[in-house]
Amino acid sequence: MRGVDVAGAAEVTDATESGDRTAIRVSGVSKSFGSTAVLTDLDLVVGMREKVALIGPSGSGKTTVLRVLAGLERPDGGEVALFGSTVWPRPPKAVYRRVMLDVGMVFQQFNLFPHMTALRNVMEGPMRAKGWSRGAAAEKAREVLDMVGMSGYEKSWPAQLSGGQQQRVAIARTLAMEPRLLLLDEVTSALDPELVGEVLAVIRRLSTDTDLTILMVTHEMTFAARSADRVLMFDSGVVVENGPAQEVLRNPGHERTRRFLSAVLER
Amino acid sequence: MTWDWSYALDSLPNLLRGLLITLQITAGASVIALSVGLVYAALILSPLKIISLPVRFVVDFFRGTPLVVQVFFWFYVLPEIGITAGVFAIGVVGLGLYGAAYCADVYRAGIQNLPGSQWEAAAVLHLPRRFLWADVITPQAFRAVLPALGNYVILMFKYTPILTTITVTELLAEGLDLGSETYRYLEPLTIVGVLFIIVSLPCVYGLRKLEQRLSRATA
Repeated sequence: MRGVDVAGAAEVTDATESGDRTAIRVSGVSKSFGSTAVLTDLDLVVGMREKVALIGPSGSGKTTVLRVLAGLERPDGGEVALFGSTVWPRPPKAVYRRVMLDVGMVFQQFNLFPHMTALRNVMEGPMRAKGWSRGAAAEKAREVLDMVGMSGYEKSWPAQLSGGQQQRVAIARTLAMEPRLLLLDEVTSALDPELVGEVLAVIRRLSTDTDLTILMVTHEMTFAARSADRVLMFDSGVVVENGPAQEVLRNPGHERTRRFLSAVLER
Repeated sequence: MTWDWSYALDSLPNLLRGLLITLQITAGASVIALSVGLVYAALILSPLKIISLPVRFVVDFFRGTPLVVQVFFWFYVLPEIGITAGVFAIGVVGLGLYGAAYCADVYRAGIQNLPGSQWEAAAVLHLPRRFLWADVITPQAFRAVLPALGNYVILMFKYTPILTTITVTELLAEGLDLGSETYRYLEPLTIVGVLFIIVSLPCVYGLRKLEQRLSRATA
């Protein structure tokens, strides 16, 4: 559907200002739930194809960042641009939709549609959001299910699959939309320990083999160190540390990061 | 008074004809109740109060007044405002609208009980609104409330005798007719009761089975 769009796109697609190399540009974004400030004047720039891990204690705002980027939360103020197009404040509907079709999100609890088979779950987006034919959607679905190692489970119902398998189908469902930006929200946190590895392996492959820009909230520090180019440490709604993954995790500069890492690693 | 088998047998054709009418009314009223109820629910869930509040009022109005009053109202008032319809049609619509008000709240609960994560999953797939409802929300909500809806269908089946008051010749009316001709009510009215049970009991058991299967499937 991209490229078919419409008047209004030109004025909002301001690629020159933010540059082609920028996937995400967040400026001065704040978000409160009631009287609790979750994000405070957040600035964040992520380059194309960058893999960024968001770490930090729960309630520090990392998940809210992903939800704002996915359009699930409305910021109280500030600006958000994806691939050079402003998405907050909201542009006209058609423009917003065109930009957001490049954004995919995978949830902690998978959120598969329980009344659809694995294959149908993955076909749903291409068919309904992108208007692909049933045949084309099925072909794409088989391809991405194969990518996440779930070939042979096309006809399974979500309830018949293990947590790790469900999460891999959920990843496939997102990949079938051919996003450019992938948001991963604690995708292994709801899994039994022995199932974490299979999901991490898939994500690791995505981070090395694809051009995707990936933003992941994770508590898997060794995984973050190996798969991410950069780590952002969140605390109380602000980024307290921002640097190359190895550096931040091995040799944190900030006292808060040191305490957090030792608490996590001593688990 | 003893049970007269030959009289009972003679009554049967008329009573079965009445049962057929009763089933037709139930079917027609169910279609109206299930579809209008879903529309009510969607409107009640609208974020626009100018839409949700009037519909809420209509639904509460239908639930808050007795069925027999509603049926008499349609029967006497519709012709006064120039709408003529047969008693069968009035019965079907009257019973259907009464049931719709109850189905509305069943649907509403089914939709509201869906976890918010399903809406979010649909949102990040950028499903257009019509497919969000057609593919994701309605099938799941419908599955969840199927047993409750089934109970209302059975209830409407058992409410059909109220339509004797507006001269619909359903099952009870046939029984009363036979009795008034012969002054023997034992046989026809007993058979009326038995016929109601023969239809409703299997439905009740079937629904219970369905409920068990659905709860196993989602567990």
